[in-house]
Amino acid sequence: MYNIVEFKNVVKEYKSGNHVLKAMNNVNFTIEHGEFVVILGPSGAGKSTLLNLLGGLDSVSSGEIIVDGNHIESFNDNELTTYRAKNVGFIFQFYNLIPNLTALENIQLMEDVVDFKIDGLKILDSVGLKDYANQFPAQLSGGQQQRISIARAIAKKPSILLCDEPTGALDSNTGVSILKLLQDLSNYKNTTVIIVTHNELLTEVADKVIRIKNGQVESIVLNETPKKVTDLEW
Amino acid sequence: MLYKKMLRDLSNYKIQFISVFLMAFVGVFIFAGIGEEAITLESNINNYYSDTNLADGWIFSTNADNALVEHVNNLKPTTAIERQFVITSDAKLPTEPDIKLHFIENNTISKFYLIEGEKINLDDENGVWLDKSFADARNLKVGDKIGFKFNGIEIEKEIRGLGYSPEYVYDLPYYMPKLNYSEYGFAYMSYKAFPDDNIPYNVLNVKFNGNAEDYSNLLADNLKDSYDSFLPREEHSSVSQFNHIINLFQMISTILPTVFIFISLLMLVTTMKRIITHQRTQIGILKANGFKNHSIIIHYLSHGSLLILAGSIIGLISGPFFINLIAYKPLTNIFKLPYLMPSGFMNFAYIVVIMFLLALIVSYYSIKSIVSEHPSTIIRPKVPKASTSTFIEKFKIWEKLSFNFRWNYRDIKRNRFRAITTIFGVMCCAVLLISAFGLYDGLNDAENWQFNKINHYESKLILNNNVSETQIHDVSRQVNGVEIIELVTEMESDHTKKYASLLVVNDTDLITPTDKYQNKIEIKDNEVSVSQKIADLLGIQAGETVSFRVHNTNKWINVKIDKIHGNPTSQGLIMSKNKFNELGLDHYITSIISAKNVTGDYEGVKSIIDRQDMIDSWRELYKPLWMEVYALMFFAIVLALIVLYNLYLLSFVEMEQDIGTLKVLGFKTFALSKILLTQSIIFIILGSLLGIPLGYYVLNIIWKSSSEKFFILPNISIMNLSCTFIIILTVLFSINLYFAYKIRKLNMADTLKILE
Repeated sequence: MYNIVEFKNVVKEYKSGNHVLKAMNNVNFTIEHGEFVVILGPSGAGKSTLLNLLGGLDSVSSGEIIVDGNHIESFNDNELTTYRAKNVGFIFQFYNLIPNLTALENIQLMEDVVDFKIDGLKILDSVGLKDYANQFPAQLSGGQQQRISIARAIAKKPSILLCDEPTGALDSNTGVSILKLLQDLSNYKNTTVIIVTHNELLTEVADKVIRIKNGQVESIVLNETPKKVTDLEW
Repeated sequence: MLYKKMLRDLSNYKIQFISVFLMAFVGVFIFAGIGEEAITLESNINNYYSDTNLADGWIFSTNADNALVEHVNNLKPTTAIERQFVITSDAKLPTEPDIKLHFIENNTISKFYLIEGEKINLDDENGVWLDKSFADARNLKVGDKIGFKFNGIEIEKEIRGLGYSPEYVYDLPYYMPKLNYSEYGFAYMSYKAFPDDNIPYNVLNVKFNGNAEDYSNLLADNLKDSYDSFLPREEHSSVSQFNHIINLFQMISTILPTVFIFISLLMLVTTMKRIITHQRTQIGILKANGFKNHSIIIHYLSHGSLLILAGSIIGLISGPFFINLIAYKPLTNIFKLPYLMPSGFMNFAYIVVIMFLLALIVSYYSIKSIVSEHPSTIIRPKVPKASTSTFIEKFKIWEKLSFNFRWNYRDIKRNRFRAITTIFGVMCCAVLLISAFGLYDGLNDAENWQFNKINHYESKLILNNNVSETQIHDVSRQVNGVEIIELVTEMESDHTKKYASLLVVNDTDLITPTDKYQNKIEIKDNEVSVSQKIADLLGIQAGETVSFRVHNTNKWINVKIDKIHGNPTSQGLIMSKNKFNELGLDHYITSIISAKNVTGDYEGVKSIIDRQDMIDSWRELYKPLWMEVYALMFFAIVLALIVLYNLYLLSFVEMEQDIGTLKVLGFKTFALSKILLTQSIIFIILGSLLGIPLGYYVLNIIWKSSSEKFFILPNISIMNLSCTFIIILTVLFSINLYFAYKIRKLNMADTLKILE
């Protein structure tokens, strides 16, 4: 195992007039390849800032972020775009599927940003939605849409899967099935899955739990025996 | 507090609201500006004719004796009559300018409009009331003496007053090269100022009831040979030229400004609908907190409506002011008018009311459907519409199509209203640009047709009436010229009468008639050709017979029309000298045309007009119209810019979240701006395909509705068509560059949070 993600003394400041807000203050942590990580914290703790920095949606004020050996803090806009295209798979709370495209097309869409052919049907099959290939997002349930979102994310074969409250908009049963899918990706496909959430319950299934508070890492806990998602009591 | 919210909303959606404001402003600016100019001209001339009691017609007779006056007066429709002796004199001033003298018995019809000095005194034997424009050009003042020579008589009078006459609003004698008020003018004197007791009265000014055609027929039936001709008011050269200009103003003041207003309202509909849809959840929150429906409705009605009201009012005030500013000077240069008072913007206040009411209706329509929903429904974002695959999407080829194409196809399919509105908006812009550039081309085309394709002579020598044939031939030989006769005729077909021109000319390279498409045609020695416009007005075709008579004669002649020719400004007949004589007509030569640049004095030649003078005169006459065409072109481009930007913005805002998601997923800015550009190009192509033929159609209506003396086919040059496309595409690519910048700067994190 090797460290696929490294945060070294990461600081992120937002300036508003004369006022400077430190949303991320000297954050340090590492994530190993294939780990199932939960980043936890209350609202305003800096979770979204962390996700934005790691996802290449925003840049650091100082410090280093190394993903799969790349110093992304030094990337320009174009390099960040390529980084997002090739290294990161995003899963959002509200799925963010393209409403104009069918389930299959939302996955095939990724062919435009990667260098290889995507077998959309096979990936849809892997998330259990092969029969819904030609449905548009508005014709699918929330859980189905989130599965499509996961399928779209993994289609790119990214180094890391970044999930922003992936079960936040779902009922408990559907939430469990989505989490299981993500855990399976980590366990059986050796995919690095990073979930940003405020749901304490998810700490029980994670390999590593990073708690964030006031823009700083409060604690990092390794879970020797993570529970199976199906054993969680919602 | 809602008022504060409204101000914040206006600030948040400032670009859209500025667009709405600008579109209302531009629409009303053009509508009221050009419309007001036409009304100003019409109302001023009507007031002037009314103030001066302009004659309804003029009866010309070489012997307008008391018996004739009594005879005319006894005709039932005649309501007033006045007798004059009118003659052209040479003023005893340097260059001997031509002054038309009116020896009057009374002055209650076609009254002299006094500006300076004393009123006309019919007992004054020594006074003269002079044309103010001429006096100004010659620096003559009240109290100065001026002498005149005519028919071997010389008189000298003192200037008692300066002023204008309704018979000389447009004053360019046929023999004069161009408007030059220092070289000609008019003067009024009492009959007592005539040096002889026997005054050879030759003109009767008449006022009558009923229409001119009936009166003309009545004169013909009753007076027989005791008069030479009758000229109704509408055919008087001053009146008809002024009407010609008013008609041209009116032609562009109706259709195109209406398109401006229409397109403004169209943009308002889309903008208001989008803003209200965007604020759906806010409306839900207001409702959930107990706000009454009417409070919410009034709040949203006030958003766009107040801006529309403000834009319309500013357009209403500034449009007439600005258009007056650019058109006033050219108009007062060519027309002798004592006043040209702006008719005022209040004539168009109704358009502000209409704009405001429509803004209220559009806003109400947009808000009503949301307000009527239950708060629990509107407090949540609207559920996206479920798409279904269309026929084309079920084919294998669909999968081979690029993402860009598939995206845009689906986006257009899902947002049909926006797509149709955009195509419609582009179509209207194309109509405006095609029409504005078409007017520009048409005016240029008419000039080119007249001076390069039909008339090729360099000089036109206007002959005196009493020149002998020997003298004429002698001059012709000296200048290597061609003799022509130009007359005024009346033409009749199926009880419709029209005044028309008659050109008698033998085959020559100096005047080459063309068809309506400007292709040279040959009118043979024994053929008669009529102009397309007259043929249309009288409803005649080649092969049919029409009757005509030369003005000032009573002999009606039936003639078969062999050809139809086209001419931009001269509508009537063309025939050879042999054909003219064969029809039993005879007339002295009126002019000699020559390919040479003729200068100097020739016996029997009244004046020499060169080609450049004619072109200058033409340009001077159409100058006010050019100003408006330039204004129209400028605002058509401005409106195209606003409309395209606004439509682009609407597309961008509606796709912003999807664009944000694609950007997060790794799509490059270029690929994303290409999606928007592709969609816009599709809309522009579709809009232009509809707009270009429609623009031609509108242009055709505009030209057809222009004056009876003017004929031009709708045409837009390749150059200007290219210009139209270049303008649209430049605007489009500039806007696309701006939005590419916006995409590059798009805050992905914020965009993704929108839905949350």
